[in-house]
Amino acid sequence: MDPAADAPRFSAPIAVQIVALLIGGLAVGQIVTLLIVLLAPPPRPPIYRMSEVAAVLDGQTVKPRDGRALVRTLQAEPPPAPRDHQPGFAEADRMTLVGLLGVSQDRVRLSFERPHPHIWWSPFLGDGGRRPPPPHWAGPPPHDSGGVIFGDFKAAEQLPTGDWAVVTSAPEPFPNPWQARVMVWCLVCLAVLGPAGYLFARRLVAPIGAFAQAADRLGRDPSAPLLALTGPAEIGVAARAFNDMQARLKLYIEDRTSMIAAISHDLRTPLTRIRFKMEAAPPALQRTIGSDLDQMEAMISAVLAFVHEASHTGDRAIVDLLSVLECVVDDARDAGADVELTTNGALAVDGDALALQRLFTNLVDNAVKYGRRARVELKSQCDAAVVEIADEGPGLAAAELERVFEPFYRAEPSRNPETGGIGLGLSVARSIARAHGGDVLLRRGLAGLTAVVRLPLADLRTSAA
Amino acid sequence: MVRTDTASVAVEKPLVKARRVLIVDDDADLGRNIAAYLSRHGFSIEVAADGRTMDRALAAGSFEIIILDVMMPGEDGLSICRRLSAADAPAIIIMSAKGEDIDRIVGLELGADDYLPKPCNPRELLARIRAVLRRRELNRNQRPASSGAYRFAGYEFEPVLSRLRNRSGMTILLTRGERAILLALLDRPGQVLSREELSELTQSDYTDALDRAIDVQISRLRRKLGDSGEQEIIRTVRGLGYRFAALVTR
Repeated sequence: MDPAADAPRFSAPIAVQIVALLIGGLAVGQIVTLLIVLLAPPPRPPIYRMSEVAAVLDGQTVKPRDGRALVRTLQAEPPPAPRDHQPGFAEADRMTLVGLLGVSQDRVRLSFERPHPHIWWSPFLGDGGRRPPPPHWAGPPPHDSGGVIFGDFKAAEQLPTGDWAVVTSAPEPFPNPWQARVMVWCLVCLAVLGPAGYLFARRLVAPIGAFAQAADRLGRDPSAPLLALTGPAEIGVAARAFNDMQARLKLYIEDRTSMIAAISHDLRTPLTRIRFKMEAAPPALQRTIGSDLDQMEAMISAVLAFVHEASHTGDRAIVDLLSVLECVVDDARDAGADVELTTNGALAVDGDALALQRLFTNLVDNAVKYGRRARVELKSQCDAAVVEIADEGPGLAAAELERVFEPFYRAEPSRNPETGGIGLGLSVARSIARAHGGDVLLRRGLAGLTAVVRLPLADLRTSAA
Repeated sequence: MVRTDTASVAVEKPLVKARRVLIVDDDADLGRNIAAYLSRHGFSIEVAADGRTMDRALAAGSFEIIILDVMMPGEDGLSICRRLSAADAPAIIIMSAKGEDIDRIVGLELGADDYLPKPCNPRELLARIRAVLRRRELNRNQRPASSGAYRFAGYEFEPVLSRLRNRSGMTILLTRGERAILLALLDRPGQVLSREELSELTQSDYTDALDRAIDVQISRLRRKLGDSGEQEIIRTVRGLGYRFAALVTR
């Protein structure tokens, strides 16, 4: 019983687990990125040979070997002066172009869209990593037709007509192959990390869900089993607090129940005394006080039965439910009630025959008391025996259908001063049904109320052995 | 008290001698009241407050029946019941505020002849005293009070637990009236019992059994036993009554 007795096993606190999950996810992401950088082919800037640029400027159609298409346009104005970051390089390349075109220097212009990329990309170049020309390089080597431009550029030549032919590389498509590859990698990474992260997160919060369920169960039934002291440390602490609370709650209920039981119990002796003393009284007095005594005894019995049901489980056996119903119906009929029983035959349930008798007696008594008559029907549905007890009374409001199962609750206190009920009949019925793994519900029928009892059928094949 | 005039009412019964009843109850007021009531109905009463006083009373004279409380200071009722279960000991009716089935079963297993939960109706006590005494007389030469199970036609009936089980081990619940009739029949297999005799024998279970037609009880019992015809566990003897036809073993 003592929750501290068996050593609780806690895993790391949720906070730590979340941090671990975060770090783990981040690490995996970083590793993937690193792999992309190290293993995947790096992005290459477009490479344009000077000869290609010169040919396009001349109006030929050339497909660059290592770059995007080149576009030639004609315009009247010269392109704006280059905002060149590294004038040395640009000037050297321009001179190469001048040499190739064979025109005067001032008719050729060249500018780069970005900082000159020679330095950054030359080590990766497959063609031997040509070093960029040094800044003081004055002109093109005489036979060098292999000068190259890396990256986007704008070259212009003034034609004999005075117009300027401007050649630019076609704008870079989005995504370029490298970008597309990185994006695919990212998506793959997301596709792998997402579900994995979800699974981990779910494992992380599973104890919280279980804890909430257990707490909910405790709310309904204070004698529910204690929470398991497992899971993350925070849950463990909360579970321990809950278990302590449950223990106190149980103790409180037990104290109160045993007090009610003790009072009810102790009332029996004085009641017996009154009974015997009454025998000497005049008959008229005997009758009136006798019925009061009956009522008191019925209340005491109801309380004690309720306490008994709440704290005991009777002898279990395979019981013929039909025989139980026959007893209840026959007893009610002998008492003058209008009760009928319809059935297809015997059904076996695993239970305490006397408790089941009390269950159905309470329901049939209620039906007769409030609904004039009771129609009892026994049938089987799937794995359950279903007993429906229909009456023809005024029924109950929808909101009352559940409340009437609460102990000591009476739907309409003024209605039944003579019945001796104290609002325990349905509570007892429900706790008996639940103790048998079934339940009792009230439903509004065609006329009046129908109590529906569902009890699991016993497996005769295994039990009879 | 008015004991004298009411006692004269009871004396109209042709009593040979007043039957002696010993009440053992630590509640002196209740004891006095029971004594007053029973003596009005022709019994001769003594009251003892505990086990020791009871022993002195038993030594001083013989009693036919003891009304025994369970919860008493000193020796409790169950322990008294256990040591008084000799064959020639007085009959015992336990009257206790502990009315659960398990208390009743324990009391009966320990040798009590009947178990009456408090609060009880005085008339019920009276009926039970008479029934126990009558049963004692009827059974004096027939059988020792035994709690063994009866077996018949594939059924098993345990009278103390009042549990009837069929061939497949399924428990069949009986009403008190059905139970009493079955027990009366099982005790006298093969013997024809008239409705009057059955009514007499089953009165011990103070219920409305008196008012209820024996025939109704028999037909319900037959229905529960699945006694449809060819098997005929309980046979109707026309004009005479009923006879338990199946073989009974204990």
